Amino acid sequence: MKILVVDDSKDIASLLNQVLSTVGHTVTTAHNGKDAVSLLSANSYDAVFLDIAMPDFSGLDVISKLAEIGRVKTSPIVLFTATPITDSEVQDLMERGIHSILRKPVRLETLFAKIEEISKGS
Amino acid sequence: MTKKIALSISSKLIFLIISLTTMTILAVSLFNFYTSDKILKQRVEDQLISESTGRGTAIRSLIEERIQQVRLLATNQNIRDVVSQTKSHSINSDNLQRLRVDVASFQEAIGDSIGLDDIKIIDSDGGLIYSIEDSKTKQYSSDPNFKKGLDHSFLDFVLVDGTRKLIVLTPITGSSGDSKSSGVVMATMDTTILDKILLNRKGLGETGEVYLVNTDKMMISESRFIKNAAFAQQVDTFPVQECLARGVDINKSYPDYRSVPIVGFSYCAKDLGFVLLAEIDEAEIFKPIVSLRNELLGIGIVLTGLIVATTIVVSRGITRPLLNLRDAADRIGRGEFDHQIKVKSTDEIGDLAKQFEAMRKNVQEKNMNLNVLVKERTKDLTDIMNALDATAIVAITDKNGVITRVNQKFVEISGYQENELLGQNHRILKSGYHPQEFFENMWSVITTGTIFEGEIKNRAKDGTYYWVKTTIVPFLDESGSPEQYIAIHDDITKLKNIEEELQDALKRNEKNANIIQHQMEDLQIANQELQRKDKLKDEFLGMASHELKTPLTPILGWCDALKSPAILGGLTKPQLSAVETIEKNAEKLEKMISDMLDMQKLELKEMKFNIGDYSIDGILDAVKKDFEFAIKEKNIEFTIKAEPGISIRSDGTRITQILSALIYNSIDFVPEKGGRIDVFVTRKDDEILFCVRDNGMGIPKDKQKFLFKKFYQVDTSLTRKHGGTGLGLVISKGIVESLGGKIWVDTDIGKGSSFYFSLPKEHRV
Repeated sequence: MKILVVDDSKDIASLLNQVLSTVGHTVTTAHNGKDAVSLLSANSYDAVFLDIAMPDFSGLDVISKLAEIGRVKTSPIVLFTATPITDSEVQDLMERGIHSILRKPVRLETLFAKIEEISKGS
Repeated sequence: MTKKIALSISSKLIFLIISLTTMTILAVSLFNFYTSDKILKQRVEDQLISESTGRGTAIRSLIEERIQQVRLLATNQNIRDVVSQTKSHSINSDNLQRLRVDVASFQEAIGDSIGLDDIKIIDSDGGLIYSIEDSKTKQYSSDPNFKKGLDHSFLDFVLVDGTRKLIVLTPITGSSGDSKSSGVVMATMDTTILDKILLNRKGLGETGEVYLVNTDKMMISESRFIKNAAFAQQVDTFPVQECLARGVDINKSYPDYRSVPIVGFSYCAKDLGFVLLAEIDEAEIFKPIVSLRNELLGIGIVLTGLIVATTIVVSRGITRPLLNLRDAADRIGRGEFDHQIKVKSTDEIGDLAKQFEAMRKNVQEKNMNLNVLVKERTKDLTDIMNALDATAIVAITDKNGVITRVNQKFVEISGYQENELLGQNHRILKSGYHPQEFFENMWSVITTGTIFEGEIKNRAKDGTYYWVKTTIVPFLDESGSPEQYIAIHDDITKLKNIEEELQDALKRNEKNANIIQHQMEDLQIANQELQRKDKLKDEFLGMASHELKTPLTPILGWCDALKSPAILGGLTKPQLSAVETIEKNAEKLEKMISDMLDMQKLELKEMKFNIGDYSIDGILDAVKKDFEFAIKEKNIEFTIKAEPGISIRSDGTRITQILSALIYNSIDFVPEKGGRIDVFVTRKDDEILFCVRDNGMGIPKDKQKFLFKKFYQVDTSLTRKHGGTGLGLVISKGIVESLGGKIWVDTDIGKGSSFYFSLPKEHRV
């Protein structure tokens, strides 16, 4: 699968890159929102893991920017969050077209299950 | 209205019945009348036919008989002889003597029976040869009857010395058979016998008569109506003309010689020179018909009258109860419910009246109830008004502000008499203290139907001022716009005075006031600072969560990756043990962060609950799954069960969290060998009771009260041993209480611990 990982934490990005590559996926990484928008507006991916809390240009800003150019649904986007998020916020994001939300810390088991779910769903 | 109804019904009935009966009577009467008329007329006609033909025939035969008798005499030889001798003027005296004897014997034989007066023998030259009576006239040659008699036999009526006589003349023919007459026999008779036939008026009623008319249209018998009419009265009537012209009989109605309408029958005997007429006045014929008509008319009128009277009585009988009912309805309409309805008839109207009476009683009863209700309500209102009057200053105005009612307190405070206030606009009390906009605002509020509240300074009659706290309530009409206002005032003059004094004092000590104001401002700034710090604390926690959890992600992630031979090729046993230790501690760190955040949320009352319907079995299954591994690893006997089929409306995720916290707690306390944890759930009335029981060492009484306090663990050594944050029970308590339940523990040293919590079966917001 073609997967995009966006996280300002380089540790997290490289962990996911290495783990997912090892099991046979093609992984692209980005460390800020602006790069993520450039990549997502030009390419489509089988799965995108997007961190919400990033400095300057957050994951939510990425969603807004993609919504403006109509590319939210082009790739299934899974949001990562470490901050508490309310049900209504989740509801709102789902309505804007994202695939799902995972709470940090994300365990590999959960990550693989999510990829399985996306590949079955597509 | 009243009369119309009454007349309408009875007049309809009367009109109907009268119409039917009158038509019947009229039909029967007309039938009777025409039948009777026909019968009567037929009877008269039959009578007249029989009279006219009977008498006509009788007269004809009488005439023919007389002519025959005289003709027989004319064939006497002696008479022939004597007549023939006159030519030679040598009348044989013997012959004459024998003539006398023969005539005398003729007279003797039938003279009386025919009323014979005289017989004359006249020769062909008109010379009288013989007569029984002395005769003045000796020469008849110029007599028309004589000339006619020479030719043929006939009978005629004549007037002799003013007396009606019958004459019969017959020619004397020669014995030689010579056709020429040699003389004439002329017999004169009275009319008695003939008149008997004519003047017999049996069957002719009051006006019927039978008479004869000759060919000169002259009446030749006596009239019933005119004296000495014979040979004086001309009769030129229709049957006479018809007889003379065409020789026919007539039966017909026509005017007679008197020009009186009659019904007549004629017997035409033109050959004998007369017409017989039998006539009766129409008036007499129709008299019985007229009287019949009058009788029928009379009976009809009487019958109609009777029927009208009966109908009126009957219809009154019907309409009177109806009128009574209508009167009763009128009374009810005017609100008089106590008038009993009296209709005695047993027919449908009677039934109606009974129903109506029942209805009236019902309405009367309801009305009484209503009256009682109205009285009660009125009393309530009066009580409220009295209470208001006793406690407040009250004025009521119309929609323009004109006072329509004031209470005693209003009079007292304003200083005006009641009659000085009524009819005046409320602005009579205006003090001039408030700007015009104040009142404009007040009116803009109350004219929209909204209650106005405010403090108003008024001026009393004596010029003193008073303050009132005013509530103006608009009373709305049906369309929703105010029709009057009630103003309720409280006297706040004293309060206002104090306030004014205070303000004065403040003004006098403006410096002090300024200082106080500055201090107030400082306080506000400090308060704002505090609020800002609260917010910062919130933000800090959010940030802390992120900052703490983000580094945990690669730690735990790499632990997973290291443990997986598929990803990083696997580890040696000591290496794996080291990674697992890192992982376990990272997990504890994560749980601590989560607990702290929950704690914070509970304290800030920001925890969100997701209320839904959950089956208890479902919740327990999830819990059981979470602990399967830990329980097995520690060799603990674990049971988890619930009363079958129970469910709860609450937050299932939070219930799972509490149960997990309690079970974690128990795992910490059970002995390393032979440990046992039992979880069971039951329903108790409107609550669901959860229990987690362990066979641990139990908790001493003096320490139980700290159990649900923050960061407390009974044995601090256990904290080291199990790494708990000590927040599990505190968070559980917070969640249970937020969900409207209770949490408690039943424990003692050596007894084990039973942690209970109960939640309402139906979560209440």
